[in-house]
Amino acid sequence: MNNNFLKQKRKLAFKIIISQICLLLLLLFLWELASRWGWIDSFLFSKPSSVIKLLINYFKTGEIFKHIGISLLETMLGLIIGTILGIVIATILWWNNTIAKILDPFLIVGNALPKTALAPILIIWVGTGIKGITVVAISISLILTIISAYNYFINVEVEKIRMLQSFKATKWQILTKLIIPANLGNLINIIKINIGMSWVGVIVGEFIVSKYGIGYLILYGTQVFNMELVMMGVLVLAIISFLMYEVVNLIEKKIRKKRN
Amino acid sequence: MKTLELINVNKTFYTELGALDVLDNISFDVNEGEIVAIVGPSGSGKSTLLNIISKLLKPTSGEVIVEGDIGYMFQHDHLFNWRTVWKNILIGLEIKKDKDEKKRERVKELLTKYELIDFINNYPQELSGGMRQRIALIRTLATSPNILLLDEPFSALDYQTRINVSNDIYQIIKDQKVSTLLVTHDISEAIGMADRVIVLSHRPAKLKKIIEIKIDSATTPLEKRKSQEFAQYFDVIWGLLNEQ
Repeated sequence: MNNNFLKQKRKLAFKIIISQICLLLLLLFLWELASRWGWIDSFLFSKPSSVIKLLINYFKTGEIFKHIGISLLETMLGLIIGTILGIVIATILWWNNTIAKILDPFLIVGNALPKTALAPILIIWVGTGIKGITVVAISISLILTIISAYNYFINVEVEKIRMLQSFKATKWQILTKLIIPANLGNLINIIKINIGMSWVGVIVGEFIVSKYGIGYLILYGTQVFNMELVMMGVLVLAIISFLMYEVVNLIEKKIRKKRN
Repeated sequence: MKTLELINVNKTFYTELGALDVLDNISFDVNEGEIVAIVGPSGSGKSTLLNIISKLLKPTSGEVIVEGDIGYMFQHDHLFNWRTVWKNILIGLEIKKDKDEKKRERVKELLTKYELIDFINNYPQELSGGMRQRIALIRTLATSPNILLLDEPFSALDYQTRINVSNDIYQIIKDQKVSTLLVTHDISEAIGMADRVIVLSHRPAKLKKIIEIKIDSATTPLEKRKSQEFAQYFDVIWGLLNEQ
């Protein structure tokens, strides 16, 4: 019985994946067709076959690796520093209520402000290249990480904290034995959101000033009206961020399995 | 010997709206190995009383004397679902950095005695509400407290479970001879479990009466519920609570 049930479940999961791939292929096929038969302007919209051809060329010359490498490095740095720094600051706010109250309006304004508007200034301050772009990436994820992690932390049940206090737990013990483990799932979600945020920062940063990177490819492609190049950049971007997301998903599954 | 003693405890809260008297000259004690229950109308300051005993609040005047360590049991079991039952039970000793072999052996003995030893590698979410509450009690007892404070410990359970669990918990407490202060709004629970029942008045809470529960024919809360005296005690306490 149980075996049958599992089989059915696996069958359904398989069906969904096949359908997803078919849908993707269908969209690409329609795009190709529309471009070839002149329903859309192939100069403006390009077509999948030319994009793939270009991508293969970039792979052959090895040029793509340089661009992917640099963007990926900036994104990873932005993601790691932004997330860790954000969680550390959130912990400090949780630890000291007065600091949290003082910083509250600054965080709200900081969150409401479109950080991309600050990107040019940040790059002028910090300098161009990997350093400047990483800082832009951090600026986009940091404030939201602080606010959401802090909210998760203070929403842990008060009675659970009292339970630990009844054993005379120190604040550090409450943090490490309750607050962090109770929010592990939430913190992983923050990482997932920050993948997207860091990519926004990196692409914006590369748009402003850069010599390499996927953002550079896309901007350059637009400037010389090479839509194949633009589409290729977007395609590479989509694949890499999907892969990053899946890596985090895998880590999450491992943790959940260990816990239960 | 007295494990807990309250002498003329008063508590007044000062707010923007003025002074609010909550406790008015409360005095009572809990002797070693005794279970004392506090019943009172809702809002009568039972939680304030517990918070004063546990030193979360200071009394406005009066004195609270506690001999030794306090252990708590709450309305919810507050077991952590990312820890196994065993690790949940050890959390108190872990916090006190006191996990030596002797203490762990004692916890294992408790678990064996109360038929929980087979579940120590399970996670709390795999167990029933009643079992979880018993585990929460063992978690508290693991650090060998001198007095237990039970704050409405069964009110989150359904009726049938709550009667069974209060029976089990009663037997564990009596077995281990821990002095206990039980706060509840459930009169039957108070009569079933306690050696003495303290009845509080409406706010500001005065001590209305201390009633000694003596049901010789019965030894467990379940049996007490079936006895004749039970109904009489119930009527007395019910009367006291409803008196204006």
